[in-house]
This record gives sequence, C-alpha cells and structure tokens, in this order.
Amino acid sequence: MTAETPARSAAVPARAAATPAPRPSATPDTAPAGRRFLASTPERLRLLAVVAVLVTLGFGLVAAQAFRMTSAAHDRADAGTAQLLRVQQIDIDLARADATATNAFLVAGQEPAAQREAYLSALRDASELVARAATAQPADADVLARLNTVVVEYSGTVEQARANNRQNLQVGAQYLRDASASLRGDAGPLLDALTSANRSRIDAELEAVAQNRQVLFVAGALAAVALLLGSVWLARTTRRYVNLGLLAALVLVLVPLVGGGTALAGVGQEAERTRAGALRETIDLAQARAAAFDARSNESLTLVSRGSGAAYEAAWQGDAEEVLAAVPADLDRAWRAYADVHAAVRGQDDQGEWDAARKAATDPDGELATTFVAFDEALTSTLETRAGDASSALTRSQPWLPVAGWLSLLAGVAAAALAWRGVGRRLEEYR
Amino acid sequence: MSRVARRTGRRRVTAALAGCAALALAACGTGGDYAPTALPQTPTVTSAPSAPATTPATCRGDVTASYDPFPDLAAGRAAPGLAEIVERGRLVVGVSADSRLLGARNPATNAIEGFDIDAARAVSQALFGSPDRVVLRVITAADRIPLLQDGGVDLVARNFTITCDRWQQIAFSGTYYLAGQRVLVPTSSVATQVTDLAKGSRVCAPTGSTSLAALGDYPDLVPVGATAHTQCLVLLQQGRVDAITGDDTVLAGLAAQDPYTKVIGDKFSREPYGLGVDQDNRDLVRFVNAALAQWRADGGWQRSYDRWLAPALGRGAPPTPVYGRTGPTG
Repeated sequence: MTAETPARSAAVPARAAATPAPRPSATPDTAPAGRRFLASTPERLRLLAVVAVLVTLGFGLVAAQAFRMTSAAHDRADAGTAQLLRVQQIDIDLARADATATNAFLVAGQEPAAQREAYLSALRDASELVARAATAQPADADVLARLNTVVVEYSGTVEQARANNRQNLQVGAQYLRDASASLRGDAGPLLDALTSANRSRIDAELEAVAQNRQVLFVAGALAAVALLLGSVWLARTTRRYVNLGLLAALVLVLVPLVGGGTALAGVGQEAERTRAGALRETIDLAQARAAAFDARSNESLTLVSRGSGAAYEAAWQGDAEEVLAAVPADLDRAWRAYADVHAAVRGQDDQGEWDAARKAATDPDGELATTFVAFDEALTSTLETRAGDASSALTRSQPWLPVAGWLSLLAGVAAAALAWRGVGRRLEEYR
Repeated sequence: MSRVARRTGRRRVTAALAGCAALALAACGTGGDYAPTALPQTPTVTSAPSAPATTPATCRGDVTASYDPFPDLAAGRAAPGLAEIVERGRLVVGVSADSRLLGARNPATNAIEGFDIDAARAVSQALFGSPDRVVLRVITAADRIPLLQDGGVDLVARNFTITCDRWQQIAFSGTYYLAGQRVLVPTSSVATQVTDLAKGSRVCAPTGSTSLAALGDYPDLVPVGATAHTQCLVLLQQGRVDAITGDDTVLAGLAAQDPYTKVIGDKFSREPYGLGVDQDNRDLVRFVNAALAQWRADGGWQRSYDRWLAPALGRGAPPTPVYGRTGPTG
C-alpha cells in the first residue's frame, strides 16, 4: 500500500479538489476474528459504495420509468380526449338527424331536397364516427357495436315513417314517434356510458401523471439524502472534505430530480388546467348543442302529434333549461330569440291554428328556422374553438418526455459508476 | 490490481449495470389496459299501475238512455242552455285528428274529416243551418271529460263510449253508433272469430283500455299492451303481435291503412257511442238528440256510414236511441 500511494499521487497531479490528508489510523485495517461486522472502515466503505450504487441506479430507473409513464399517460389522455370529442359529435349528429327527420315529416311528400340531404348526411356522419371510435378505442367496442344497431334500426323506422306519411297514413306518425323514442331511450344511455367511461379514463391518466411525479420526488430525495449522508460520513472518516465521485453522483441525481420534477409538475398542471377548463367546457357545449337539436325534434313532434303532444312540449321545456344552463352568457340572447318564436308558434297551435303553426315550423326562411340556425351556428363556433383548445393543449406538450427518460437512466448509471469510483478511491487507501 | 485492469474492470461493471438497468426498464410496462366499457343496464319495465278498484256506479235502466229530445229544433235553439253557443256563433267540438275514418286530417284539403266529424257537423247544421260553423279542437282521450267539465269544449265527438261511470261526470246524447269489440288479423289468417285464434296468439290493445281488459275472457290469448292503437298496427306490421283488438271503428281505421289486414268476427262487446256534453247542460243534450234524429231521418247517417265505415265493416243501419233519462243515475 505504501508503494502505491505515491504512484497514484503522481498519476493524477491535476486533481485540485482532493487535498492530501494525513493517513487515517483511527481504526485498524483488518478485522480480527470475533469483532462486530462493519467495525472496520473498509467494510463500511464497501457498504457505502454498494448503497450509493443502489440508490443512484434505483433513482435512474425510477426517474426513467416516471418519464416514460408520464409520456404514455399523456398520450393516452390525449387519445381519450379525442375519443370523448368523437362521442359528443355522434350525439350531436344523431340529434341533428332526428330534428331534421321530424321537421320534414310535417310536410310529408313536399319535403325539400336540401332537408332530405341534411338528414342523410347527419346520419352518415354519425355512423362513420361510430366506426372510427370503435377502432380508436377498442375498450369501447361493445357499447359502440350496440349503438350501431340502434342507429341502423332508427334509420329503418324513419324510412317507414316517411313511406307511410307519403301515403297520408296516420300510422306513419307512430313510426316517427317510435324512432325518436328509440334514439332517446336506447342511444342516450349508450352515449352516456361512453362519455363517462372516457372521462374517467382521462381522469385516471392525469392522476397517474401526478403519482409519477411524486414517485420521482421520493426516489430522488432518497438518493440525494443517502449520497449527502454518505459524503458527510466519508468526509469525517477520511478527513477529505469532498469526494469527487460522490459529489458528481449527487449532482447527477439532483439535476433530473429538480429539473425533471419541475418540468413534470408543469406538465401535470397544464393537463389539469385543460381538463378542468377547455375539456369540461367542450363537453358542456356539445351536450347543449345536442339538447338544442332534441328540443327541435320535440317541437316538431308536438305538431305531428297534434292534440296529443303535451308530453313533447314538456320535453322541449326540459331541453331549453338544459341549453340555458350550459351555454355561456353571450349565447343566451340567441337562444331566447328562438324560444320566443317557439312560444308564438305554440300559441298558434294551442288556439287551434294548427296549419299556420305547421307552416311557421316548416318554413326554411321563417323566423323559427332562422333564429334556431343563428343560435346553432354561434354555439358551434364556440364549441369548435374550445374543442380545439382542449385537444391541442394535450398534444402540444412533451416530445421531450421520452428523451428525458433515457437521459435520467444514463444519469443514474453514470452516477452509480462515479459514486462507485469515488468511494473506491478511498477504499484503495486501505489496501 | 493494475490501473488498466481496474479501469477495464470498472468499465465492464458499468456496462453490466447499464445493461441491467435498460432491461429492467424495458420489462416495466407503461399501463394503459382499459377494461371494456360496460353496457348500461336496461331498466326493468315496470307495469303501469292499474287504476284503483272503485265501486262501480249503479244506473237504473238502460245506460244508453238519454234525455228526451226537443220536439222541434227551433224550440231547442231558443233554450237557455244554448244561448251562449248561439251568441258565439260557433260550436266547439273536441275531436281526434289521427283516428282514421272517425276523425283524421286529410292532407290534400287540410280538413279533419270522419264519421265522428260528420256527427258534429250535423249538430252544427241543425243549430246554425250550416255544417261549417264548428271549431274542431283536437284533444286526447284523457282530455274528454275534463274539457267538458270546465267548458273548454261544448261537445266531444271522439269515439266516446257511454258508460254508467261516465254518466256521473258528464252527460251523453243518445247512441249515434253501436260499436263493438272485434279483432284485426293479417289477411293470411284463417281465423273468422276471436275464438279461432291459435292458443298463445299475441293480441294487442292500448294499455289500460277496456279492450285489453276484455281479453281476460280468453285465457288462451296473450295480451300485449301498447301506447295507442296505431302502435299496435306498427307491432303487427313488424310481426311482433298476431292480432289487434279494439272497437270495430278503430280497427276499420287501421285496416284502411294496411291492405294486408282484415277485421273479423262478431262484436263481443257493446260499445255505444254518444256525443259528450257537459252534465249540467240538459238543454244542449236535448238539442243534440233532436239534431241526431234529423240526421238519421234525412239519410245523413247512412251516407256517412257508407262513406267511412261500410268498406271495412260491411252494411250497417243507425241504432235506435233510447230516451227517458231523468238524472245522472237514470
């Protein structure tokens, strides 16, 4: 040993930090038989080395996993948001199809071609989206398959309503009422199930992001504390104030811990903000739009059912409340403009002027149609803006997450190697 | 140990550590297995609560007996009970707009027409000299009695069966049509009576109607409730029921909408139709009876019947009304 020390000092003359210290002689170098384990310094040094390697390597693994999982959870939250928006759009498209079909029924064979095309395109959009949604999220496949059958049966029943109506057979109105009822009674619960399932998936992913952050902090803190305590003990034992290896290891632990942890916190906060803000608003606006179309259906069905339409008017009132509760204040006025015209048409029907009410309800340039379209367009533009915000907020972030993961792993491995080397140098002094 | 050997050894250890770490990382998953979304439970259909059993009212004599008609229409027009209507110049009548043949809208003319409408127009003719002085107000079956009681309508001409219970709430004219319960089946059916229907046949009628209750007399048949007779027709067209039962007039209306159906069998109940009137306005009842007598006498009844109901139900003659009532219980 004595022969090696000068050789080592000669081999590393540029080392500035390590000041030569008097040789430690407090404890004997070898452990005589019968003494306690870990009584000798070399054994304690070896233990320190092992512990240092384990905590740094462990931290590297945990940090890498945390970044990986955050990245994956983020991607899944993004996919979940896209799925949620798809489901809302299916709801809107089906409601739009029903509103068009029930309104067209009032004019029977004199239905304008544009209205027929509007109904068909709404139904097409809905069925296309059902297929895409099933591919995008296989866990939703069962419910979407059932929804598909509901849509198919609905469109068949509407066609029977149209065919009977065209021959002035009153049974056509019954087919129409049955079709509308099946949409509300069968498709409604399915869409609700899909919405709540996807919402809870997004919540779960964002929850996982938060948990990963905590795990990262805990592991990093453990590693840093262990290294710090080890450095302190080493300094006291070897009487050298700084051990380069352990110091470097500590730095390599703190950088991902502090930097990565802060960045993860930022990611988590942004995701949470999106969920509580743009995403929630998007869902509310989408449901308001579907409720508005549902109100339009109920309005037409009240006229189709004539004297027996009281239940549909009550349903219209329910839809109106839902719309007003969900839309922002600047759209209130547009809705109330439509609601006023609706009340006027209802008044005409209630006073027995059914034909005038029917004309007002089916006139594409009439006040009823124009006020509703104005409201719907305003709502749609707000909805599209918020939906864009919600989806871009989650996609925009974090291509660096996987990179950070690999870097933390490397940092952990490097820290382990450096710590091992740093303690090893002290250990060599005992050989 | 030589320095070179140490360095090589360290490098090997470092490489080994890195390799283990990478393997460990790859082995850890990143989650993301979702349980399939659960299908929502279909709510169990609760059967509609049956109306509480009330002790049926008892009526003396013939339940279809109405108040004696005025001897002539001019005297009737001057009666105090008709003063408000005469002053108004219009007769408000509660009708149906989707009961084909009885009261339904003709899209070509936009008018509501049918056998019940013809009866109301006959009253208008007798009162004002013109059948067009009616205001037809479309009402539901449930609204018939309340609207008469609160004055929302003067008459109800909406296949209104005369019963003793209803006499306690409103008044009726004399019978203007004697309907009866019959059965509607597909043209391919060989049944000619309700008893010919195969065991286990599903027979449809509106939930809570007397027609559905009457199926209790035929335990071999399976009763199926629906919201309305038109829904029964939808179910029949979809093959989900085998037959429909109801008043022959209603069944005629359904048969008119589907050429692959036919009305069969004898009437197995008596459903005398009367025009509904407010209970306190006996003058109006007496005038209506006189108006209906004129309608029968000048052939109007037969013309209406031949136009609307004869094609599906065969030949028919006007029922003979019974008079002599003194009060709600007889």
